[in-house]
Amino acid sequence: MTAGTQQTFGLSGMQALRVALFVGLLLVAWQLLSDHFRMPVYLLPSPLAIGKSLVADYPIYAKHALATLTEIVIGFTTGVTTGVLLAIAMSRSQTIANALHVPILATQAMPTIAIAPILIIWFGVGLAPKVIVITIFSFFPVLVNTLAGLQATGDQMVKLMRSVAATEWQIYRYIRIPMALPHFFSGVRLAAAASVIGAVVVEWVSSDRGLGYLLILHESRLNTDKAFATLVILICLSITIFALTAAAERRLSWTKRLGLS
Amino acid sequence: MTPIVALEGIGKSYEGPRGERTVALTDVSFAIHEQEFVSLIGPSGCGKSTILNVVAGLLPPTSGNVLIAGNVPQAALDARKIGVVFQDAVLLPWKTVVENAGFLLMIAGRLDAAGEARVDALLQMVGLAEFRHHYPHQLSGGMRQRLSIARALALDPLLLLMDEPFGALDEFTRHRMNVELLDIWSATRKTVVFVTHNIAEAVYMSDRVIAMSPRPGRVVDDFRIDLPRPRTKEVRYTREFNDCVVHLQRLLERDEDTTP
Repeated sequence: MTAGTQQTFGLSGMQALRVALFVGLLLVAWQLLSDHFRMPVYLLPSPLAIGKSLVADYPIYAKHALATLTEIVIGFTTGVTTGVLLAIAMSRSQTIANALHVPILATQAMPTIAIAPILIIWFGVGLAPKVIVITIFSFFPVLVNTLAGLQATGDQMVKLMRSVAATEWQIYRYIRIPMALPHFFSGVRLAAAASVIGAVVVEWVSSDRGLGYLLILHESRLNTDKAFATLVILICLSITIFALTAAAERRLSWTKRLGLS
Repeated sequence: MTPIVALEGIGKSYEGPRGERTVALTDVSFAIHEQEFVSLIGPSGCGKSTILNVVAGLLPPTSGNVLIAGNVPQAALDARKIGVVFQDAVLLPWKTVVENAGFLLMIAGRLDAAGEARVDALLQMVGLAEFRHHYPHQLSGGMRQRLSIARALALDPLLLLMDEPFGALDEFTRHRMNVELLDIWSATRKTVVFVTHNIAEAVYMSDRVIAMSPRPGRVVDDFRIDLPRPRTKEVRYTREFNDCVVHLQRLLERDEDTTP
């Protein structure tokens, strides 16, 4: 059903065409307006200027995009894994849930941008502080949603399983995990978006590579066309990651497969 | 002959969070024999569901003895010989009708060729054969509950425990389900313990109705329904049927007045 697929922003061919048409129209209008008013490039570069910059400096953008992508893939994977493991632990034991509650909230309450410099002091400008920040950004939505999903299995279902002497593992394997999957994917979608933001934030604070670094570099030099080009790549990167998680969800989550919401 | 269910002086009490004790059941004794259809009836809080949990081996009683076919309940549980049906059908929404029907057999490691054949026969019996590849969300409430009954029967259980199975259905569907369950029961002759708070339903279906009263939960009457079988829909309009209903209604109402 289309209602289900639209929710994950999985686009059908027809919808994709419409989106492309709309974006194309916007770009044309932007180009025409900036030509008409003779906008200086440092104020608002035209789409053509941005495109030229993208083509001309293609290898540089690719290098930095790859750096950011690496950070995101490692940090996002770590974040999702951490979120799932914490959710399982907290759903298994009320003691663990109580103990972890406040520390976990603290990781979300503290201003991560402000502690990024501390992480850089501790771990240098390499991969480690980035992975840590992205993990902090991405584990939380996965944890909250997966925990809700693991608790979504009703008492009667558990009782039914116990009435046929099902093992604890069977209850997880056949009931709790499939029941939690749709919730888990809601968390993953949020985490995917958050991890891109996390990567840019930490690169912004201090880094010698990555799209966030490139962005602040160009902005400080008033290379607005190049800053916009960087943004375009960043947006494309985000959408790709988002589309990949949506594709995984369509394959693995039964609510999507059956068109249920 | 050894009864399928024998309860002797069953008591169950819970300790609350502040150490106070709540008595859910006190001195409950009755026996259910093979192929009997017995209803437990009474207002909320009279411990009907607690008895079901004790019989299923899911809840140990605080006092008294339970024997299932002459053995401890755990033995029947481990042999997967207890079929359970709840008020909600509790189906797996990601599995088809036929997969749901065979699910408990699969968990029990008994979904072999014979098991699959039994699942097919049961789907036929509950009228879901042509919906075997449908998913639960495509079924009506009555169909879902029929599927959950088929799932329980697939275990070929010694005993079928039903906890207000039609309580969530509207009156018309409920009645149709009563008729269908009687048909299923006539075909399989399973021993059934049926929990309900609907007096007419209990009288219509049962060989015996055990009436219970709350605070603490106890048996107030063990009442034999001597209406002829097989029971047609017409039986509900007979004088004998109404006498049984009135008797139970009086009993439970009197009880209501004496409870604070």
